[in-house]
Amino acid sequence: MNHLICVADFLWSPVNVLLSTVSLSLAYLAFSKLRTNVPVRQKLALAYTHIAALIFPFALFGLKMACNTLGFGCHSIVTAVFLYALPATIVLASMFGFALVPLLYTRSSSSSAIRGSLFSFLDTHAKTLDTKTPGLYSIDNPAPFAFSFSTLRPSIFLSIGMLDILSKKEIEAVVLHELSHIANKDSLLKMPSFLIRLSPFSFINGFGSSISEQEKRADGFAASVQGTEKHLASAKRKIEEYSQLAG
Amino acid sequence: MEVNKIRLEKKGIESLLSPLEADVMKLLWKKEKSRVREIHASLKKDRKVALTSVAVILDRLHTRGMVSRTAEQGRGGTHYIYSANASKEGFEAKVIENTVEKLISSFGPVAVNYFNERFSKQ
Repeated sequence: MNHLICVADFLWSPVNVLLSTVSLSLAYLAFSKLRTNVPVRQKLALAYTHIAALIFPFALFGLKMACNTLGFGCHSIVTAVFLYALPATIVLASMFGFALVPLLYTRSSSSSAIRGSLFSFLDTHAKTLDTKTPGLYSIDNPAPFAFSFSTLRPSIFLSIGMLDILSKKEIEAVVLHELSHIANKDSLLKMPSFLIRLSPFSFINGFGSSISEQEKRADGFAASVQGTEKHLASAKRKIEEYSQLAG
Repeated sequence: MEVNKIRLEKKGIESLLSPLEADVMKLLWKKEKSRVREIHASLKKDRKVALTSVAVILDRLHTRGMVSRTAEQGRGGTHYIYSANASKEGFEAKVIENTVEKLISSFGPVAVNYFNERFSKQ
């Protein structure tokens, strides 16, 4: 009964209801957009936005109740939102995102596991780096791109568009590049930079090294294995060319 | 397929599609299913064209509903297989149908009268 009183008390405030409604609406909009054909970076931003917007009303409720119970005196909605609920939401969203976002891709119907010679190639080089072999997946998308997650279940994703236009050596160069990111536990993946700055995990992953240094290191690894920079350079050129032609 | 622009100085599908798009479609009508690389290899014999250009063109044709695309696992991994959504004749018939409908929609009775007179002379 006390719980119902707490909920009723929370919902009695129009400001709480307004904030919660806006947040849940934003969660719904982000989720709807997530299901459309948007670029990978946008998809990630939407995934995190969705998770954060879902968590926010509950974080606000929990913190309001904690405030009332423990007598912190944080009756002001501004204090509750900006000092407690928002930071708590960001932390929780980052944690959930860290665990759940990769599953979005590995469990998605638009991705499928890659086996065969390319996976064997990845396995061989993962062993040389003393790293558990990450999952290797293709994503049903005609634009050429690749990304990786160095999270609970490290995975590398290559779009079918990339597999179509790159040569075998160029694909291997990209795979080596992504493997390096995973082995070095670099940034979660190539996230939008504002999410990187907000996430507390930016201090854990790739501690002390900037994103451009991570990229140089990954490029260097691919070049050292293949004995040349030309395959990775050629792959990047084709990806850029596609992007310019597609507009 | 939507018809928004026809180049009257060109004939056949070239009046509707860019030269590269037209060549890609001709290849797909000839060989029912093809990968990006196969189409590129055929086109390369007659003109200088980048693989990325062919990939972009195929994606555009897919967006316009002219070709369909399936992902297939095969030797060398997963690739898209493209095929034309209609035969050449079917495509041309559809273009004519859409064009006539647009003309009638734009010019109304004038267009209808013209077609009546034109076909009654035959």
